[in-house]
Amino acid sequence: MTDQPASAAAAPAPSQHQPAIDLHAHMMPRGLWSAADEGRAWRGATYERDAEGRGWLVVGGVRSGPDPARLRSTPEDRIRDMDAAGTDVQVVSMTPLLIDDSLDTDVAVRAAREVNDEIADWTRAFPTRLRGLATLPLTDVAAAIAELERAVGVLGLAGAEVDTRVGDRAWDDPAFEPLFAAAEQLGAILFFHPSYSLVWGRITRYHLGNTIGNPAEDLLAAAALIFGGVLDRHPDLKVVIAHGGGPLPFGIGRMDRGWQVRRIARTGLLHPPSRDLRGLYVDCITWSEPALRFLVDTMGADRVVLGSDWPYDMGLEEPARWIRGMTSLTDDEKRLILGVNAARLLASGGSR
Amino acid sequence: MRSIDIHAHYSPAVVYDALEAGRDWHGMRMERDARGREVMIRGEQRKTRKPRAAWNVVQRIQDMDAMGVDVHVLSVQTWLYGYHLPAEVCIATSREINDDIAHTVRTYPDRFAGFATLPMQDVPAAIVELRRAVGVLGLKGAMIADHVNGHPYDEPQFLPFFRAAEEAGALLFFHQLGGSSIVKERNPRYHLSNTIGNPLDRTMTFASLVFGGVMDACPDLKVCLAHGGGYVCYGIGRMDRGWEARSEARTSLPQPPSRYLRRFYYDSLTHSEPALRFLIDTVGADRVVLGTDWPADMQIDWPVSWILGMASLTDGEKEAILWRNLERLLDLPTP
Repeated sequence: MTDQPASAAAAPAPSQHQPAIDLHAHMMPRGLWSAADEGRAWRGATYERDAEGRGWLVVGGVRSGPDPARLRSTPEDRIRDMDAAGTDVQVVSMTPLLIDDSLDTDVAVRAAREVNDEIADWTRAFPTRLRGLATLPLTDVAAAIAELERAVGVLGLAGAEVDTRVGDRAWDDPAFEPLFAAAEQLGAILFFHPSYSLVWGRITRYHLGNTIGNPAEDLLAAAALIFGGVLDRHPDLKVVIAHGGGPLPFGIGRMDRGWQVRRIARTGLLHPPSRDLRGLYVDCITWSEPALRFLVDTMGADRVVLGSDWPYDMGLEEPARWIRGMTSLTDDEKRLILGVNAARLLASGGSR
Repeated sequence: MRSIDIHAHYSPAVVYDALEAGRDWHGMRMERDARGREVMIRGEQRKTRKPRAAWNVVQRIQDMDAMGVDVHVLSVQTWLYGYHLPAEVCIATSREINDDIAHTVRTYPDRFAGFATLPMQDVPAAIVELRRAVGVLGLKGAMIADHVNGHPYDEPQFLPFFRAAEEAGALLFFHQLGGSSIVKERNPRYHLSNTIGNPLDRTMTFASLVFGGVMDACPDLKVCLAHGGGYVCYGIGRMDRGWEARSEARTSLPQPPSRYLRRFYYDSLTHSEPALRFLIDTVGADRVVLGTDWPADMQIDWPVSWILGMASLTDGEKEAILWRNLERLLDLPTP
């Protein structure tokens, strides 16, 4: 597929018939469930039940939850849920809560292969309903590249989900250049999604670590890719940022000002950061129609994809119906967001 | 058209006269670096003095005239907050700074109003100084940072302070300690510590006050958030969802956080007309006030004509933002 501007997108079918492709949907690997049932740890992660029977995940000393019961769905259960929600295709990625940068490389590689094989099994069983994103052992870039090549080339996954940082390193770290080059060459999607936000370090109350922290993480990942020059060096890299990119469209004016007045903001970027907004995609999870409208106005309707965050409580229950019901979006914009943009990203070898 | 700027920083003569004369000021001194720039030093703090921060009040007024700004509501350069210092030192520095600001306001009453700085690490002392600043010195309230040495404002120790501010009718203007944001440790490159960190810190201040129940406990508290309130208006939908889905988000908050948006004022420092329009659409034009961040490099360069030139704002909205809201909020005399 070619990269057409929004107004020239083909097929004038109304948005009601546009298949809905949800690019932001999570899974928990069966290895974790088996281990939890036997009271064992899985790759350093444990699963605990509280007095009320609710499940909590403990990874690297961080306890998160309670988990939604649906997290343990079979692919068949998942597809029934998708049918009820009006979602045609889910692009499945491991729950980012399981990302653990403290694992030894060999353990991380084994874990990634196990998860990616499982996701690939699902996509082969339900090829018209499920696609997949790999998880990668990112603390070893060479190992991550090898697994990405296997996941895309052998398993047929569409790319990988990655954290908004790797340990203490941001995505502008030169160590990640070979990974971006490999992903670009493979036509692989890189879906940036936080595992744990910096806000938890300031305040642990009121769920602000998620509600303010996750969008902040998404923004920091986008800013590292933009200011670090990653998007400029890799013009065909398919980048998708979770949660609407956080406050990226709203905050870009201040970032432009910083670029204008501070030399340190220009070390990796020869143009204002706002010009790179069209070099990435974001999902629609803004929790506000006015915010989504602002996002579309700032980035273009051809840059926004459907996302649900299934099956978490901070996710959209019926993402496609939410988009279809909006009065502030045109029918063309709805089609792009519902599935046209995601289909372009998922097309193998397609460029952004 | 009249214009009143709520976000304009001030270099007190009481501090800089001492430093320029080579004297120590409460443990602070000034040196010249290899390039001849003046560097203020206090313990671990080092701050290079920018040229316009060295201007005197007459030069400042000339610049205000050039920009078409009638009134600056003065707040001290934030590196002078001093929350990390022993309380008795910060009490002394705050008193001297506030006396200086009040003197400048009295000298040019039609050009300036003022905010106090407070020793927030000692809540009873902060209350005493706030009452003095408002009741005796005639200042309009205080500028305070987004947290006090890492303690957010939902902590119960701060509630007496907010009650005192409410009782005094003081406006609290929230503004980070420059260069200290939550993003600094995470990514110190590209000025993101400022361009993302400042709005993010402000968003957490809003959330601490709202989710922590401070706004309910103090129904008449007057609060203004600098930098357009950070990401508050854009991110409020997700905060509402968190309130809806999570019991821990409702421990101190009987209504969704979006219900509190109009309890706050927001300055116009968004660096984007669409973002400012979005802010107005979300919180109302009666809640947005002119704020420029003079004399920082992250300021709005020509703030009055920036607002006047906006095609997406009505004349009434421009008037409200440029002066009407602040004249009412601060009870400033109409010229």
